[in-house]
Amino acid sequence: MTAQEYVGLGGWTPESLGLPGEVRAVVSAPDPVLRRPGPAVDPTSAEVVRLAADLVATMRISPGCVGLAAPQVGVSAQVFAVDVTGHPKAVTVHGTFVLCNATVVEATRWKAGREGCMSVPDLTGDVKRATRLVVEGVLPGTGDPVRLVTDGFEARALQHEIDHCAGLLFLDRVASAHAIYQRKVYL
Amino acid sequence: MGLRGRPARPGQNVRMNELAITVIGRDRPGIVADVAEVLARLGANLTDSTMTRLRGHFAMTLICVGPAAADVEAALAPLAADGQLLATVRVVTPDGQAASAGEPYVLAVHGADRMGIVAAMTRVLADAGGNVTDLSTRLTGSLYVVVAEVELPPGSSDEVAGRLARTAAELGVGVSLRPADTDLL
Repeated sequence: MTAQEYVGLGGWTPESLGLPGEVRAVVSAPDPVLRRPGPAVDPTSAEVVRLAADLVATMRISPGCVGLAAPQVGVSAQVFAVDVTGHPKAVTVHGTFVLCNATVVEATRWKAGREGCMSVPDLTGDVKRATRLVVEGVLPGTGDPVRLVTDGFEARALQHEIDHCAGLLFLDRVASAHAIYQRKVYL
Repeated sequence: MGLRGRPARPGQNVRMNELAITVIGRDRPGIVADVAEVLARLGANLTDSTMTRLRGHFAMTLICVGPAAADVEAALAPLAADGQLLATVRVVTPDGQAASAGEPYVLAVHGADRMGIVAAMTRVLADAGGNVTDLSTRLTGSLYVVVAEVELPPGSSDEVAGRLARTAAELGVGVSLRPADTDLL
């Protein structure tokens, strides 16, 4: 992680929300909220700050969860949390963060990779994503604009969450008729 | 290692039939090996095939070239004797590779399971002159997922996407239509 990329979040941490966050129930497809494009939000509103804290809390107690978007807790809104810290496929890592109203401004070096989703617990799929990514959004609480430059697995996670906010699942982007797989369960 | 059987030797007195074969039955280890061995023994050359497990059943659909249909049927009969496997063999006319003038797209549909999703969505494609070249479906819990590869008449994708969206809305499911990735490396 370079100093320049860290500046992207301006030292923001979930603690700056000033709320502990409560765990919310995660909804699964075919819940229609997952197909609804979320509206942009006011990042400084108390409701959005609470949602941001709750997304972080829910993401943290969910094993293997590297990102969680508002529609996944039943709220149609452009808010998501990401944390790929410690993931073996991650290169650039910005730690735990929440973005509101995020958009992809640059996406290059597309590569296929296997993805899963807490809201589609039984399936995975091969999806092509940009491995070099620039995302712009605003931080909950402060409303400060951010520009994140990232790559690899963090870039994949961001695109997956931004898709959720637009009412899209990885199923909408699978590469071919044979690119979805039953998730293996080893008991 | 591939599954290709031994091709008939040139000059061998075997009529080069093209056969469409299906085998389906309760999954167990060895179905592919058993069927492929039968075909190899008869000198049938296994060309295109798909073999997959569908909810605990193993399904093989294959085209092979070589012996007479009756010989293959007879040779497969012992495999089906215990009632666990169903095999069919029929002669088909070799058409060669159909040249495609269509533009390749991937259609994804997902939503709550209900009757008629595949029927309604593929009817939209068919009415637009689209040709489904590959399709798979999954039912997991109450989530139904369809992914299809389809060739659409050039320039028709926007209109087809609009019709698909209207049909999907009536069915209460989500749909996306994207150009297939045709990068050549």
